[in-house]
Amino acid sequence: MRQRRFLGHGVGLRRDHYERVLSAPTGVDWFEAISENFMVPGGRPLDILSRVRRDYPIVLHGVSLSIGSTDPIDDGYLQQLGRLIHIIEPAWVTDHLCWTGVSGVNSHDLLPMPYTEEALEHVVRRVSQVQERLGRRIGLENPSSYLTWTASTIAEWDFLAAVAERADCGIMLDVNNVFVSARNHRFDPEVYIDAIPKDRVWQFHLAGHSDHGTHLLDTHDHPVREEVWELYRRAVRRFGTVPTLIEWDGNIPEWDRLEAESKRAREVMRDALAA
Amino acid sequence: MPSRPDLKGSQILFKDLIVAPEGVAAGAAQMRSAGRLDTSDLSFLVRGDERLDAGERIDIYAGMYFYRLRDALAEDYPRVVGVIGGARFHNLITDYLLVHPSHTWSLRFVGEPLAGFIATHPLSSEFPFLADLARLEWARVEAFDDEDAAPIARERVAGLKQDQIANLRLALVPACRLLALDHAIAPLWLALATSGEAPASGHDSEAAVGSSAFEEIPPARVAPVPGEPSWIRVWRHGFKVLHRAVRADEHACLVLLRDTGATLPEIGDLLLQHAATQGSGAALEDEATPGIESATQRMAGLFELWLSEGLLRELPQGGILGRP
Repeated sequence: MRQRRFLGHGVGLRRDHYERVLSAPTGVDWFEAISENFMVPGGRPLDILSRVRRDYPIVLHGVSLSIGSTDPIDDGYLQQLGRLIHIIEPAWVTDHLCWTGVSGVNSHDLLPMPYTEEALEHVVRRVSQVQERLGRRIGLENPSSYLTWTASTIAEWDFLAAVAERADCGIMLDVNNVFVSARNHRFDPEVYIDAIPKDRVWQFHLAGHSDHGTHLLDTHDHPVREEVWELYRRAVRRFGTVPTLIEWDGNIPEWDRLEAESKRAREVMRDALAA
Repeated sequence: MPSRPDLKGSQILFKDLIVAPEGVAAGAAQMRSAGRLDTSDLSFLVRGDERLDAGERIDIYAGMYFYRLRDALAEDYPRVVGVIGGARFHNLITDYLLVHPSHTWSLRFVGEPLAGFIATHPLSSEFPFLADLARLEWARVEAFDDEDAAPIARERVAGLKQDQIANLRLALVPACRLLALDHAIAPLWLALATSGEAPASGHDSEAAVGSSAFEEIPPARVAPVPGEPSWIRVWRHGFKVLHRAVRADEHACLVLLRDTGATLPEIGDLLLQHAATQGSGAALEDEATPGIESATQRMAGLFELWLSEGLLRELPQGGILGRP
């Protein structure tokens, strides 16, 4: 599978910046929207996203697909997502390699999978179902995690790579999440990066995290940490010009600060490729 | 060591642990008492280390589960938070999630049953008006992103003859909610002005969340809220969500327009009927008493108001009421 087209450097579209984004040109190339926040019948959210779409490519990034859950796939959810895809015509659609609920109860969190053969077969089957239902491939992001299931027998990076290969889907590689999980589970983040198949990576995420002493938490409320920039350099050297997005969801800064973070990603990528 | 559950069993167990109201350790102990677990040591499920044991690692997710939902609900119900303060809202949501865990894929819908839940909660003894305040806040949430529909334009009406206007079949735009309440909530809503009228959408995020100073939000001092019937319509005009206290006769007309659609003569008949059974109408809460009006004058006035506020849409002749 070939990598997707290079969209450039984008940021997550957040409510705080709607007015700024719509009022004048920006220094970012594209936006990523949390799908669920726009899977509504009408009103301002859909209008805003449609207007942003006139000027920028959009990637739809979901948090509720729950691809790893043992509950049936929610056809109503896919129907709503399909409607949004039809309206927005995104560059691509992504969600997370996780589960969010079971027995009909949704935690609204990205819960980690046990990395087992049983789970691998389960996820591969469901990714195929979703792709068939949506009529397009999807990309899956590696979530941050704070625990390892005792049952796990496969390394996370091998599990992610196997899902992508067997289900023929893309990978949305979150470099910060690799770093956070590496610290939390004491693995080498470079081993993770090096194990991901080059031609499967559609997009990078970069974000800030917070240090709670016993563990790192993927809070998206800080600038990208220096160690994560370093890991991003390595990822760029391995995967090349992959579209890169800055996520910032808490303590959301003024637009100029966010744009500066995206500009730094652009510069880091340029320098890494030149080196 | 207990036998390890399969994928489905693992997920159910994990879910039950993170939604346990007293935390993972207490939840595990309860499951052990109930015979669901052989041990309270959760290392058969999750690996621990010297930094965090298995239960503490699951507890990270348990905390995020609760705080994410509480914060989303607080965003939907800022004035309920204002009245009872952060600590009691926190406890209210603890009780609420035990009865109404989320069954939807979006945080947008998690708060739907909260007003009904408050009505049955002990807090209602101290704050009898709280459920009505919650109903108003939720109606505004619903109107915010309900279906778009072009309201009938004044120019369209101006171009019609009287008999054509009388034949217009009218309905409410979808982004409109009608509330019949037991308390005069509208003044309280104004008195509890929050820092911003943030749209009630955009809760979903992939970021981790943690505890905050939320519980320190003090309760507001509120004047007594009269326990008397009141009616409020909530609607979206353009992208702005508005609400207005209305009289009982207007509420009855709007219900007719919402449920079946109606012509202006049918509205006039209803107003006449209402005047006959109720006597003269009370004043709009934000207007001076207009005195006794004829049903025709009242209908003309309401039609003008509804037109200017973008409440009405036109149904096709002979058409049935449905979503546009």
